[in-house]
Amino acid sequence: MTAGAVPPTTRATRAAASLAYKAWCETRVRLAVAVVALGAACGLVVAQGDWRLGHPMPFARYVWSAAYNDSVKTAFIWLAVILGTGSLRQEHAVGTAGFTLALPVTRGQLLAVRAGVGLAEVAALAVLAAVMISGVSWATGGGALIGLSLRFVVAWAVCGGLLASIGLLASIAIANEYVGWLVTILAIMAYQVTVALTPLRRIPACDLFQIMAMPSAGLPITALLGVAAATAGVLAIGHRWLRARER
Amino acid sequence: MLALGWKAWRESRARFALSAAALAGLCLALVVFQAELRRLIGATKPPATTYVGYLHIRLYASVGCAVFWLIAIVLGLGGLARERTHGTLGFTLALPVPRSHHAIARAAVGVLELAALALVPVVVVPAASWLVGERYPWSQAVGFAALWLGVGSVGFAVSFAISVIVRSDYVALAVAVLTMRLVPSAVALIPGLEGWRPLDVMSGRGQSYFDPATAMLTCVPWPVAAVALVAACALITIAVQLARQERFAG
Repeated sequence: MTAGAVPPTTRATRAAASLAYKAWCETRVRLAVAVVALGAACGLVVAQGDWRLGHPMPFARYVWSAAYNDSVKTAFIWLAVILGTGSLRQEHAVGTAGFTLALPVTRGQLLAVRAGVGLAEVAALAVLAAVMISGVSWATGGGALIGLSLRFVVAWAVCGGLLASIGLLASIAIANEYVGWLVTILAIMAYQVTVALTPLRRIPACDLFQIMAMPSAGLPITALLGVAAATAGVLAIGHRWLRARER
Repeated sequence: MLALGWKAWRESRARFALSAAALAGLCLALVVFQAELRRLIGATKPPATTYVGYLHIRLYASVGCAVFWLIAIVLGLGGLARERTHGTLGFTLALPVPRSHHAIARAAVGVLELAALALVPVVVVPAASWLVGERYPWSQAVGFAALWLGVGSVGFAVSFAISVIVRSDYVALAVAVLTMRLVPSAVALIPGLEGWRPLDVMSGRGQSYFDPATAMLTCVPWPVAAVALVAACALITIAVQLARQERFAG
């Protein structure tokens, strides 16, 4: 190595950091909107609660059914897909793909960093939901529910990661942003219907939304490992598609 | 204006085709697998035990209604702000028509697409029901289609207005879907407006024109649909004015 030359590992780290900054700049407004919206959703759930009116349902049970298993979960699913979408395909449409491809990195690295930033943002959103619900719950006298919230953070971050990676895969396959998002959401709904209609419903680990709602009883480690493996599989398919387009 | 309508159709036809296929597929699946799905509901009391009640629960009061609402939101997105990002704005603005005509043509095409989508269950549900040996009244399907079109138009109009204000594709999408998800819940907190959530109006739940004992509309709620359409027109007019005043420099 010549004096002053940058070692390859340092160069790769710098490239990854630059790409991560690029991905962050592209998604930060979406993330800001998501943070505000999810915060509002959590606040609404507590404000709307029947438990305030002396409802017999314990507060922890109410939070599970209303927030972690209903409206906040739906908002989180939509947001996870929106945070995951966006790839070179959309850059072609806006005319910036040339600049991105001129960077001295492979398409695989572009995809890996984009996916990493998307997954990190989804995880941050899961933490935000837990902090908001625990905070509002504590402030309104319902207890902080820290144990429940921590379990949900892990489950939502892992499951949200899979949804974000499916969104990323759709954006690699489909150029139109709205069509890509609609395809992803409709595919998720079709998956839900399929699970409900087939013997798969007897295996809770096959139902992503069941896994997201499960931590009230305990963290489903095996199911979450399966979801993480599925995320890796979806990203691998995305990588293959990108490589195929490279040829 | 026809040429602008053709342009708006070309820009939204993929979304429309996908939405039509999804709605038709959903209606067909709910009718074809009705025996299995009714068993899964596990209802013991009417109207949930009846075929009409089952269709109301599964299609008109839950998943079908939610899918249509989502489709209305996505169809409303697009327009000149998006074209700026995609670099085609110059070509569009070079056309010898006022800016408001672009927005009006896009809104008209969107509402027509929404009307065609609202008719999908009107055609598919009674026809497929007949094929599986069940019966679903056309009048009910038409009534719900009117409600879907009216309330869906309001969702479309809000989304349309958001697409005029917000430039980024994904940010507009995020703002639109979250507004549609959260604002109705917030409105429902206001005393006196509890029953006016869009999905409640679309499904008839808690409304005077719906009989919960039979899960059927007591009449075709044209006035409700008409008021919703007027509200949608007002919102679209505001959005068109905003689009007219927009400065597209830079």
